[in-house]
Amino acid sequence: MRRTDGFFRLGCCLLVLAISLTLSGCYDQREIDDMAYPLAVGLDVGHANILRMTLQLAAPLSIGGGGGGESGGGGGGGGGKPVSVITIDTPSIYSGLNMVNNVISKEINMSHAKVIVISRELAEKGIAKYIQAIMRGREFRPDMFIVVSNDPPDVYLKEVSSVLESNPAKYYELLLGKDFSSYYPESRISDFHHAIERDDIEPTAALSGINPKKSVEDIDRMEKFGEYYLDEGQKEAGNVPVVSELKNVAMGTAVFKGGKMVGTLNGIESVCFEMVTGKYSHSYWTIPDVYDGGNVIVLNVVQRKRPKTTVVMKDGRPHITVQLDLEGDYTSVQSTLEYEKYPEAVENKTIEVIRQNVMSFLRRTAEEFDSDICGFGRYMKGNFLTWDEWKKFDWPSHYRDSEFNVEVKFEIRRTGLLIRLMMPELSAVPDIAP
Amino acid sequence: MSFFVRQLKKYLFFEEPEKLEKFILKPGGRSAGDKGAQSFEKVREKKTAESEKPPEAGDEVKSDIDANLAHMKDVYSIPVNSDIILREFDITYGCRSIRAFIIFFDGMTNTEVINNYILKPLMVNSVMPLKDTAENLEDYVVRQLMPHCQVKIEKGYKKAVEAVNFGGCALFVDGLSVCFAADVKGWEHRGVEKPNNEIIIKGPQEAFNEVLRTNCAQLRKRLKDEDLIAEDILVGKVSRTPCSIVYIKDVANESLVAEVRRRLEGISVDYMLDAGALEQLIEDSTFYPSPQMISTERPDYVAELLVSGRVAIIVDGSPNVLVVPITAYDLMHSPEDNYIRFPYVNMLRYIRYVAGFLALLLPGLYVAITNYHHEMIPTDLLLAIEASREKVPFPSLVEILLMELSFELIREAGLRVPGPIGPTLGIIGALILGQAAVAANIVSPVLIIIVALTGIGSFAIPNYSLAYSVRIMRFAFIFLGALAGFLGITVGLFVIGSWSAALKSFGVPFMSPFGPKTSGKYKNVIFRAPEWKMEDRPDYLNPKKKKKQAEISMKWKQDTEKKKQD
Repeated sequence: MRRTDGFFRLGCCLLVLAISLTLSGCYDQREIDDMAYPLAVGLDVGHANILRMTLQLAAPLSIGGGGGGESGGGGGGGGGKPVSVITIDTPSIYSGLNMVNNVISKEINMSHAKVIVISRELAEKGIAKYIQAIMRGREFRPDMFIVVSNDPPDVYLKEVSSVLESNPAKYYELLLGKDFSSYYPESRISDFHHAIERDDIEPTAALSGINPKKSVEDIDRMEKFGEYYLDEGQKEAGNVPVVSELKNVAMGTAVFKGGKMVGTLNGIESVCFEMVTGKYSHSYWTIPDVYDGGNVIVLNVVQRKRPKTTVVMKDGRPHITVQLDLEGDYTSVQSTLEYEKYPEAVENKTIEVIRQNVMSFLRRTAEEFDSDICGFGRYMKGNFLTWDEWKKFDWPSHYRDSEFNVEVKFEIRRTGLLIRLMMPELSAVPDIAP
Repeated sequence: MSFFVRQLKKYLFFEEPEKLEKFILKPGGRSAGDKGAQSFEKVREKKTAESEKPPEAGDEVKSDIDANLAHMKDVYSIPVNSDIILREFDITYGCRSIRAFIIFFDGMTNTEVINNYILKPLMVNSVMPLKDTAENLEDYVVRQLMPHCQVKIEKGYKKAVEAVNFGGCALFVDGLSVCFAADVKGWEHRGVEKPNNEIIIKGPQEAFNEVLRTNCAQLRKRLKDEDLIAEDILVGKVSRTPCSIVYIKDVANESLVAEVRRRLEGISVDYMLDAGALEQLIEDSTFYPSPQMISTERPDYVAELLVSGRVAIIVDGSPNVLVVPITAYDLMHSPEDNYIRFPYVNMLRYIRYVAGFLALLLPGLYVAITNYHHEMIPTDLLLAIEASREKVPFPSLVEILLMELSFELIREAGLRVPGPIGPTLGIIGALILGQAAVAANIVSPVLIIIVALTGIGSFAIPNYSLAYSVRIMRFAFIFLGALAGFLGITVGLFVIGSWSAALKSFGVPFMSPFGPKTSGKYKNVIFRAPEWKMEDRPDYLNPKKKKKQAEISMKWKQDTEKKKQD
C-alpha cells in the first residue's frame, strides 16, 4: 500500500508539474528572428495625430553579418544600411507600436532600444506623460538614454550614422554613455523619470543635433573668432565648428523643469554641471597663460573627490556651498616659463576660471531656468524632520532665490611625460619665484 | 471518490512520513536497521563455523572410488563435456597400490603445476621410502606427497565441484571419504596494464584487471596494512562469482561494512558477470540520474578512498571496482587530484565545475534566452544571432535537438567504429557535419559553438557515469528551457536539487557535507585544502578513526622554527 501511495503521489506531482508547465509555458515564447528590434525611438509633435513617432529598426543582416555559408558569416556588416527608419503619427507610443506592426512583418520588441530622441518642440510642450508610459512598459529598458534633438527626430534618426561601429546600438552606447569627454551629461530615462517625480531635483537630457555643415567652407562662413581664442565648450550642438561624415553632434544639456524643457546649457556649462553633481571624470581645460598673453596652458582636469555640498537657509534664502576638489596634469605649456617648478600661479588661474564658470552656470540654473538640476534639494531635505514639513516648505519655489558659494581646490600633480623643458631661454616665473 | 479525496489530502497537506527502517550510518558502528548487528567478530565466528560445517546428507564424499567416479562423471556430464579432464592413476602406499583420480578443467588450470606437484609426487615419489610418520593415508597424501601450497581437504561434493569450477583440481583416493582440492588456477588473463579510460598525467599508471586476487593484491601492495580485509562473498546462485568486500578494519565503519555485506548477500541472481551489473543491484535509487557509487579502474584511487573509510567491492571478472558510499561532490574528483600540487588542483576543480555547468545547462539556457529572454543578450550578439538564424527554417528547439542528437550519434558511432578510424570519425563527423549543416542553413553557426562547448564540457567531467547522467539531464533542461524559459530551468534545478537532497548512498546523504551540514566542508569537497591541512577523514562516513594525519604534519617546519627561537 505504501509503495503505491508513493507512486501515486509522485505521479500527481509530475502530472501537476507537467500540466502547469505545458499550460502556462510557451505562451510568450518568441524566436529571436521573429522580432524586429528598434534601436532608437524618436518622439515629435505630430501633424495627423498627437504624436509623431519614429522607430530606427536594426537590420540584422547588414549589422550582424549575412546568415549562412555563402557570405561566410563575416563579422563586418554585409553592406547595406544597418538601420531602417519608420515614422508614424499616432495618439500614443503603444498605439504607434501597434500601427507600425501593420507596416513591418516582424513583431516589434523594444527591449534593445538604446536611446529615445525627443524633439525640442515636444520637449518644450512637456514629455512627462510619455516618459511615464515608457517606464511603465515592460519592454523598455530603464537605462535607455534620453536625448533632446534640435532637429525633428525623423530627420535626426535618418541622418545619424555610425562609421566606426557597424552596429548603431554600440554607437549610441559609446557616444551617450561615455565617460571621457563631458560636454553633455549621461542621461538615462530612469533617472529622468525619477527627477520628474521628485521635487528635490529636476531632470536633464543630453542635447544633440544634426550638424548642418557640409564642408570646411561652412565653417569659414561662421563668425570669426576675435582677438582671443574661444573656449572649446562655448557651443551648443547645432553650431559646433566641425565637419564630419558623422552627422550627429552631441553637445550641451537640455534643462527641464518638471516635464517641460526650459532651456539649454552649452558644453562648458555641462562640464560644470557634471562637476557639481560629481559625475565629472576628466577633460582638458584650456587656461590663458598667466604671464604670457598669447599662449595657453592645457590641463587635464580630474575630479579627485566627490564635491561637498551644503545647503542652509539664511534669512529665508537658501545658501548653497559647493566645494570642488580637483586635480590636474599639464598636457601643454606653450610659453617657456618654468611652470613645472612653480605651479601656484597656474593653479590659482585655473581655480579662478573654473570657479567663474561654475558660478555662472549655477546662477543660470537658478535665475534663468529656476530648475534645480544639480539636486541641491537633496541636501536641503536633511534640514527637515518630517516629510510633511519638507512638502510644506516647497523647495522648488525657493531655489530661485539661492545664494551660491563655490570653493574650488585644485592642485597640479603631474607634468606629463616631460618633467621640464631644457630650453636655453627658459626662465623662472616672475613674482612667484622665491 | 473518497479515495481520490484522501489522496488529494495526502498530496496537499503535510503529514509526518512513517519512519521506514532504512539504513542509517551511525557513528561507532551499530546500524539502526540491522538487528543482528553483524560485528566483525561475529562475522569471523560465522565464517569459521561455515568452513567447518559438515556436508549435507547425501553430499558426502564416499570412500568407494567407483561411487565418486560415477558421481563426478554425472556432475560434469562426462563425456559430453569435452574440456573436463579426468585422469585415473595409482598411488603406492607402503606396498599397496591404491586407485585415485584427479579432475580439472583444461584451460582453466596450470597443467605444469598439476604434472609436477600433484601427479608426479603421487605417482613417482610415493614409491620412494619415506619416513612413515603419517598415521593414515589422508595425512600421508597431504603432509608428505603433495608439495603444493594450496590444498584443502573437502568432505562434500559441492565444495569440491565449486573448487573445480573455479580452476581447481580435485583428487579422489580410494578408501578415503574426503577429497583434496588443490588450487591450480592458470587460465589466460590480461596482465596489469595502463588504465585505458581514467587517464592521468601524474601518479601510478596501473589498472585493475579481470582477476580478483590480482586486484586485491594491487590494493594490498599499496596500503601494506594487515588491517586491510578482503572478505569474499559468492554472488550468483549458479555462477558463484567471488566478490571481495575490501575495507580497512580499524577505519571503516562496521555498520557500513555490514550493510555492504547485507546487500551483497541479499542478491538473488543466477549469474553475476560484472561490476556494472552489481552496481545496479546494490544502489539506493534506480531512477536517480547520476551514479551513487564510484566505479573505477585505478587501484591507487580505490586505495585512497579506502583510507578515508570507504568500502570497495571487487567483482571477479570485472576490471572495475566499486567504492561506496560517495557524495555528489566525489563524482567531480579525479584520482589525479591527490598527485598534483594544491594550486593546480583547485584550478582544475574550478574548471571541472564550469565544464559540468556548461554540459548540463548551456543548451537549455540558450533555448531559454533566445525564446524568452531577449533582453538579456547583448545587442551585438542578439543581432548576430538573428542574422545567423535568418535563413534557418526550424525553431531553435528543433535546431538544438537536431545538433545534440547528431552529436550523441557521432559519439556512439565513434565508439563502435573499428580501431584507428574511430577518432577520425569524431573529427569528420563533428567538423564536416557542423560546417555542412551551417552552410546548408539547417542550423545557425552560434548553435555549433553551443553544442561543441557542451560536448567538450561533458568530456571534462571526470566521472564517466556522471557524464552520462549529465547528457541525459541536458535534454530535460532543453525541453524545460523551451517550455518556460528560466522558470522551467529553475524548476528543473529545483526538482533535481530536492531529489539529490533526499537521496542517500549507503546511508550517507548524497549532498553532504552541504546537504546536511557537517564539518570538513572546505577540506576536500568542492575545493581542496593543502595536503598538510587534511587531518580528518570525511565526517559523514563516521569512520572509526577520525584523523588520518597529525595536527602538525610537517614536523620539520616546527622544528626549524623552534631552532630559530633558540
